[in-house]
Amino acid sequence: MNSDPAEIEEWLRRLKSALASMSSPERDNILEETRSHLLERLVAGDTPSDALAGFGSPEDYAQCFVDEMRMEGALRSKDTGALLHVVTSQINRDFAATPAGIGIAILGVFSFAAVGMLIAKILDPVRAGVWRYPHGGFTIGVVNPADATELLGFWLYPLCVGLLALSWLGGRTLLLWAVRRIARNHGATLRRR
Amino acid sequence: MYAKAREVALEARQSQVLKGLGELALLSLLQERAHYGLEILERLRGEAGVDLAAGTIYPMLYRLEKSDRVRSEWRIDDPGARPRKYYALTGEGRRDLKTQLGEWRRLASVLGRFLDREMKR
Repeated sequence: MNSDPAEIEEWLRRLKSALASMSSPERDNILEETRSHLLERLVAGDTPSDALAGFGSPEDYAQCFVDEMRMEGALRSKDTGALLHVVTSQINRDFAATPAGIGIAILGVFSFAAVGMLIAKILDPVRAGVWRYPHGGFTIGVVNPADATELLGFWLYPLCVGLLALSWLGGRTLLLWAVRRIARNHGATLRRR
Repeated sequence: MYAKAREVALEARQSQVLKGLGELALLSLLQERAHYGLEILERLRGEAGVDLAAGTIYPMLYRLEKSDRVRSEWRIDDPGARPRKYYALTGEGRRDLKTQLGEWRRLASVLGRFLDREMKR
């Protein structure tokens, strides 16, 4: 191994570092296969720079595997955190991730609002609700009820729970759709030599 | 200047066509027998005209292996030689190849008839 040219050793060292988030057997497998490829190119007469040219930077090359590992893991486990991680990490790199990210953010705002209203209704059931003023207009939240009429009463509880459930289901569906699209786009992205 | 621009445009068009076809050509190649990475690159370039980068083929193989369409094993071809990682098609890979090939043939046939319509007039 020490007889490998310094340029290739340095490139492989950077690759190893960039693959740090992968499991040790997977990382070693990728490193050994890349080393084997590079050394065969040297034996065939390529210079180290020529042999390395087809791989690009070690960080970009490693990112292909890391992205693939994360997408595959997220789709297999369908874990919300893992799916969200894939979408956020691809938000500026994949056109499916951007609308999904915006959708998730909107659903997140709805969820926070629903949780906030639930907590407010439990702590202050008299003043928390959806209020209509005599001169027109609505307010959702905790207000002084003197000159307003509350519209929902205790129906606010199931409404908030329903909104939370819908946001959760909608968010998961959106995440799954986005990660499947990202995985498909990722597979179709080929670089020419 | 004009020739360079034409070359760049041609490369961009070829790159678009290559999207998706690289995987089909790779699966078709592995249907013959198990191959290692460098061998795959050279055969795809020489025989299929699919000029992929080394930095593309290995992540593609990794993805295919993760989706159980190919399996890999390390082999030593000759005593004293470096080990090589060989990739072979699985049953799932054969089914996927059949599907992709059917889609490609249908598309090529329809598109071919469409593109040739002017010549028949």
